[in-house]
Amino acid sequence: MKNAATSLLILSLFALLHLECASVPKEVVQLSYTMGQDLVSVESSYRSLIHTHFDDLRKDVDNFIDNEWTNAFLQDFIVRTNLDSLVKQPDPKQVLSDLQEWTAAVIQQVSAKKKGLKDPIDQHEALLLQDVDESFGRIIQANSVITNHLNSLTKIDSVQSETLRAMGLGTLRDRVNNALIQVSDEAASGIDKARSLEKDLQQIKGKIK
Amino acid sequence: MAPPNKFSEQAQQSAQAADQLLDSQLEQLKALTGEQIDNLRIKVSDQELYDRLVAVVQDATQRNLSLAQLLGNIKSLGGEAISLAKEVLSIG
Repeated sequence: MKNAATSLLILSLFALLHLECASVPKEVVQLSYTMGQDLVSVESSYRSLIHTHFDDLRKDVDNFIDNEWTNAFLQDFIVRTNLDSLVKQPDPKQVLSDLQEWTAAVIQQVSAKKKGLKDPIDQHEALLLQDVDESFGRIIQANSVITNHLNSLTKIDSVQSETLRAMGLGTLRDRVNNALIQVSDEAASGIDKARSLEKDLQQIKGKIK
Repeated sequence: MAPPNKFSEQAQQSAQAADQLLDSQLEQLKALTGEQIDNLRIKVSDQELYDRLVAVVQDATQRNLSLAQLLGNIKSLGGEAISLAKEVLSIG
């Protein structure tokens, strides 16, 4: 039993000592999470901007139809239907009935024209909003995957630190990291010296030639 | 069902006449939306690439969480385990 426990411990110690040298501050998870929240806000603003833009396009259509197209339409329709003679009919009831029908025909054409121009705008808006939802959804989901991963790193970091501390090896990781940094600095310095030597050597070679 | 409007046909002809008269402005209105929608589209990488990368990262996350759980279990074993670990370390 004790042998099994020792084996487990050796295995665990291997895991424990297989330390990531990079430090993982808890704030990295918070930063990633905050970015995820802000992305939702950016998406909401982007959607609002799209609505505003397409509302402007719909207003352009309304302005065009109300101020230009309807005028052109009415000028033709008044002549084509001989409106002047319609209103001069002797029977006032017939005049009223014809005018109601005449007005209904105008309203129907103006509405149809607006609808014909606004439908593609509505469709484009819906497609664009769907595109925005899909794109932001993809980015937000990927960011949450990154947040979860960073969170898993901080969990390991935290459990490793606690376990090492309990074993009286609380400074082990710092010592390993410091030693690695020192080795890295020395290696960099060595490389610089080697480069400098190589440069000197090239100069000497140049002089010999 | 409403009775047919006796001015319908004439109204349609008048609408066509107005369309012809304002043809260039109508085309401009239609072209405006098509051009702008292209500029407004978000160009992100495709779903396939995201799915592939997400799967790899999620797998690594799961492994990290398992490792954290293993280390947590060692710690929860308590003093005896810690003493054993110290012994193992001193032997090493």
